[in-house]
Amino acid sequence: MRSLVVQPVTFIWVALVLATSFAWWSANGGVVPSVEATAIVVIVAAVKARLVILYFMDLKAAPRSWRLLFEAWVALSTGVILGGYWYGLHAAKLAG
Amino acid sequence: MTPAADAAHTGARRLPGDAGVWLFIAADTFMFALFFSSFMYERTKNVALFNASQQALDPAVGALNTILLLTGSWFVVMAVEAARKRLEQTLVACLGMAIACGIAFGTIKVLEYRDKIGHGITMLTNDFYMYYFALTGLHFVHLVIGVVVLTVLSTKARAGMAGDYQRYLESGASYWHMVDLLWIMLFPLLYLVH
Repeated sequence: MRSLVVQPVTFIWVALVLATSFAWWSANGGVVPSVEATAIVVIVAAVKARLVILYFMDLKAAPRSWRLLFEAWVALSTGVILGGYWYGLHAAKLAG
Repeated sequence: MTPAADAAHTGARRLPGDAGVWLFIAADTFMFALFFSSFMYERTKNVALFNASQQALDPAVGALNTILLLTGSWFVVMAVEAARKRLEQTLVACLGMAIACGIAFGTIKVLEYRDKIGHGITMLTNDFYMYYFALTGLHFVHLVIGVVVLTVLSTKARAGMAGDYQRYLESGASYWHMVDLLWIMLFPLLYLVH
């Protein structure tokens, strides 16, 4: 068991847990205003998703087309959320 | 040696498990991307309502659930590695820990639903909660399937990892990571974006 725990993937897990804690802290009384905090948590989620895809799902060692497909998913999901958020900010300004 | 290291060693690129399972994972994740865009589109129509509704969710609960799924995924990675080294007891232990993480996530989710419903919040309350219940509910179904798959894999491991076990395990592991992956995006989307 010990030989399994002492692996690069364990460092990835630690990084993922720290990133989750950081995102939660950023969105809840962190040091930056909420708009920037939202951008940060979405970007942190994208980094986490990428780590899961490359190291947990092992697409780092998979045929490049599969890796690209899932990298595209991360980019698409992140883009949609950030783009929608940005549009929402403008919509709120126009309405108010 | 991890599959990544193995592939680096041999120079061959390899998809873990079954390609059919990966096609399903791809279709499923892109379907969720469509749901993310649908959620964000509806949100732009009523940002104030979405932000106010989100206040009733506890981000600490969402973060805890994220950590549970990440930990489950980590155990599944170790399970695949243990199977490759034919460490049957370690494999069963790792799968057991991953299953426990999945059950803990599910229990917290059910308690969260119960709390919301207890406060009169349902799918029909407003558009935000329609998405909240639909997206987390759909994810919950994926989680339950994942727990069942891991339980079957654990039973087969105890029976001696016969036949194509490694391929089945890698396919199940990939599915489980997808459950984790989807939640990684759902957590900020529903709990943190405001």
